[in-house]
Amino acid sequence: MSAAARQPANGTCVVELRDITKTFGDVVAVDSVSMQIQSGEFVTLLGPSGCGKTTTLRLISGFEEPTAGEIQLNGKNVAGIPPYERDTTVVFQDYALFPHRNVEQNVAFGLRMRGENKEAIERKVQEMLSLVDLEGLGKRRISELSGGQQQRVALARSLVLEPSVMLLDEPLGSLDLKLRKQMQIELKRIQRRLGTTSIYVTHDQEEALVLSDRVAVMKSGRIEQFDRAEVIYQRPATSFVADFIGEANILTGEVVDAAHGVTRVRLQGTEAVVQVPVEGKERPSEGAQVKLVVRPEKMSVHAKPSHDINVIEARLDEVIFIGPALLVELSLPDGSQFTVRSEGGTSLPTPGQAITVGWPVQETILLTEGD
Amino acid sequence: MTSFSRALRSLTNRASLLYALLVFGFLYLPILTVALFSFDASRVSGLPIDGPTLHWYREAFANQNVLDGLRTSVGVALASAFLSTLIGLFAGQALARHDFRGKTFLIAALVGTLVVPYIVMGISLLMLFRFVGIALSPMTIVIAHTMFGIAYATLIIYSRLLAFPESLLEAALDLGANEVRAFWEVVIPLASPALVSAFLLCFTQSFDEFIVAWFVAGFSRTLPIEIWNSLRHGITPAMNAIATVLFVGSISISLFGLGWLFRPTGANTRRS
Repeated sequence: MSAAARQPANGTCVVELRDITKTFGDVVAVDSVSMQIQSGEFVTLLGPSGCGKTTTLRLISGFEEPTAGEIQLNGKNVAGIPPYERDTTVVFQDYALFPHRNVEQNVAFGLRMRGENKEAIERKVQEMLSLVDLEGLGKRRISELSGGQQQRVALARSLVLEPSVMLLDEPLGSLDLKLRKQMQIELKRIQRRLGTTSIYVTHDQEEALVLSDRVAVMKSGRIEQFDRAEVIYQRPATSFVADFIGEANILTGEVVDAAHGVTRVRLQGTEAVVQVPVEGKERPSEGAQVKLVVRPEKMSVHAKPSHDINVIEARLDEVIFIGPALLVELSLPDGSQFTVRSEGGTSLPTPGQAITVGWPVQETILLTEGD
Repeated sequence: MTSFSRALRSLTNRASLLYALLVFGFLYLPILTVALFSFDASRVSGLPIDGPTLHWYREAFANQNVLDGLRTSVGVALASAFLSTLIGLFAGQALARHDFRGKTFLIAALVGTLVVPYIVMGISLLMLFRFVGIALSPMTIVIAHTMFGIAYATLIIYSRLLAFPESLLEAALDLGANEVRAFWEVVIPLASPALVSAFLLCFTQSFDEFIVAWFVAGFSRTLPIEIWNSLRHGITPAMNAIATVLFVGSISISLFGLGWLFRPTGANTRRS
């Protein structure tokens, strides 16, 4: 497709947010957000409702103007440029398909506004409909389509304009779970194929991990962490990120020994000392209070201590059967609780009994930003 | 079901039917009487009927005053319906798309113009026109009728536009349509059933309205004013004929307008 030709070479910065802030009255919706998005990237803004992710999207698309800071699209400041003159398209949460126009007319809308000639419009629309698997449905009314099909029309209507950046505002939110999973894969396939730079907004962490090259986790208008999906998962910067992405056990403790290659932390309310791998400059000082994150699936029950396994004693509270695995709920003497995901096959003591739990030292994550 | 309850139900059904007939009879009997006598060959209206005739219709529409009145009425109604619908479109869009202080008050004030007694409205307008120095003419009737029409048109168009999410307009802007283009491409087509019915409703309202028109008409005469003038010289069967035509015309336009508003369109069926 000609899409490839129009896209700048990979690695060029398409969207840059420079310290943007947006306030509505007293409410700070977006608070000093900065980010750079490269051409062809799929970036997700992830966070709970009210974290400012949709507002950020609306700032980029031009429906809101930032209170402070600067937005650059393709290296140009877009302050004051209305949505219809910005080279961005939005896939709306409710799709916003025009009910008085059929599928083709919806997809053709943007091309028609640009004044392209009839033949070009017809060709591009048909190409796009076949790309999103809607061949032959061009004459249908919007109300005659299923939710998944409407979703595809919305996608086609945005993509056909070959925007510098496509902005997607929780577009899969109203689909049922199964269709949602299908559409995630479909969306990823289409995005890869066209190489359209995309910014996606969602509160669904799994969706974010499946789709994104990079994920920006937002909380209260700020970006908590912005990195590749694996890094976000494996090296969460804050306890909020750790908790929001996947399941996380957050353990607090005090650094008892930071002198050697490995930092040793005594967990709060226990005598247990665990080892934490720390890269050079992040090394905390002795006596510092720190938070550790261990994923439930990295932990196992009845672990044998060794030089690369951390082991602690805990009390078993409850065992929950979830199909493919067991969730073992445990607590430490100070009352803090955590969970082990066990694949089963081990005999477990009855609730209230003590049990040893272990995990590989390198799976212990030290949170670098306290909060 | 026992035979007793079946009998009871059949009785209640019949009672309901009778009740409905009585209500509609009460509503339409006077009009039907007028319609009936308009076909009565006798100069004095009364039973029994002297055989059907179209004589009174011919006489009524041969009368130059009646024709002039009809022309004035149609002109006034077209102009005021057009102005009302146009203003109502912008007002309705503003109310549907923006939240502002005093919005509820504004809507209440709009409805208010519909419940002000016509005689009060007529006198006030007359005084206002005198005060401002506007000469009374069909123009002043258009202004007066547009006042009522705006309220009807705005409320009809507002409630129609309220059914569509704001994102439709944003989608149009996002896809490259400027504000004017987006309004033309999205708002007007979506509002069109409401535009048609608002226009027709305003038209019939204006066409039938007598009291306010009488105050602000000056020397001009709309059809209702013409009828009223003729009635001062006594009821003639020709008036029955005019009344019948007016009734059939108004009710047809109104029903058509309502039907248009509620007609099934793609725009009405929202996705589940």
